[in-house]
Amino acid sequence: MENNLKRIMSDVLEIGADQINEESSMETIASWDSLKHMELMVAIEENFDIPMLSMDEIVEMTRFSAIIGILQSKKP
Amino acid sequence: MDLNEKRVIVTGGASGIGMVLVDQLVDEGAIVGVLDIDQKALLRLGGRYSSLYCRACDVSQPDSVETAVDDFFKEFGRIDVLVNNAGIVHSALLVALGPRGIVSHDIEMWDKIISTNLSSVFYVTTQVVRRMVSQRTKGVIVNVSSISAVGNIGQSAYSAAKAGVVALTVTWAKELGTLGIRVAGIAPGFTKTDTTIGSMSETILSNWIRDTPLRRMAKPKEIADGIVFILKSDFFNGRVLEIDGGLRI
Repeated sequence: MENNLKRIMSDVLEIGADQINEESSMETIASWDSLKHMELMVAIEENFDIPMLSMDEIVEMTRFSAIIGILQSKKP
Repeated sequence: MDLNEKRVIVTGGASGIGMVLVDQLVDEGAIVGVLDIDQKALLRLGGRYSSLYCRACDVSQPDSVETAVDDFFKEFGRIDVLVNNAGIVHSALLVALGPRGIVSHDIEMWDKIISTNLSSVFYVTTQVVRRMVSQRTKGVIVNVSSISAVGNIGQSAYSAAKAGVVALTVTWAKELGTLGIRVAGIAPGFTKTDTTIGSMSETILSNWIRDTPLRRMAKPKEIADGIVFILKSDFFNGRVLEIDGGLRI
């Protein structure tokens, strides 16, 4: 799951996957702005085949670790 | 995009190009909501199609827009298409020399043209797109600009507003494309509608027709055909389709 998320973030945020780690967030990645955030959320929904994320979840998912946490909570 | 069963909002859809477009959308099986300030025209239109959602709305007023879009959304559950068609035409020189001396372009009229033709597009699109994004709807926005967007003598406000519509179209296409939302525009030339005919003298209109290579005005259906083309063409994005009979201002 973590490698898959890094690949998606790398594609959307246009940075190397090796630059993404547990501490990555909107504050540490310059290209992760609000426009890219929405694009990232849509890409996560499509790639992980999960139901539409709620607005609360989207607001919460501004850190790599938070995204992983929410994705794990959605595992069947 | 297949328009069958799609939820479509058309502003200014109770007359002119908008009304002809509504006819075509209904024929395609779309569920159409018409927002228009002209209540009598809305009543006439509603009498033709029982399935139409007709709603009085002043698109130059953000509160009126928010309520109307929200009501449509609650009624039909989503919005797939928005056509920003509402607009008014006004012709006046920046400064005119006449029997009363030098007369400047009326400031109130400047504000009215900008708010009705440009700010309205911003207000309605904001309300629609936030709902598209919240539902991940891969929708389409079509903005009606004009041949005058490049700058037309005697149309300071109208030309500026329509140029602004082109800028919004390109900006939003760039912002929203990655979310699967297309934004495109159409720039009609002189079109045979009451609005166009009422906005200029017969002589000026005759001159425009003479300068148009096809020597006539567009029929509203020809412009509506262009809008439907944009809606159905899934790779048409961030561009403005010019339908003007070859006229260059």
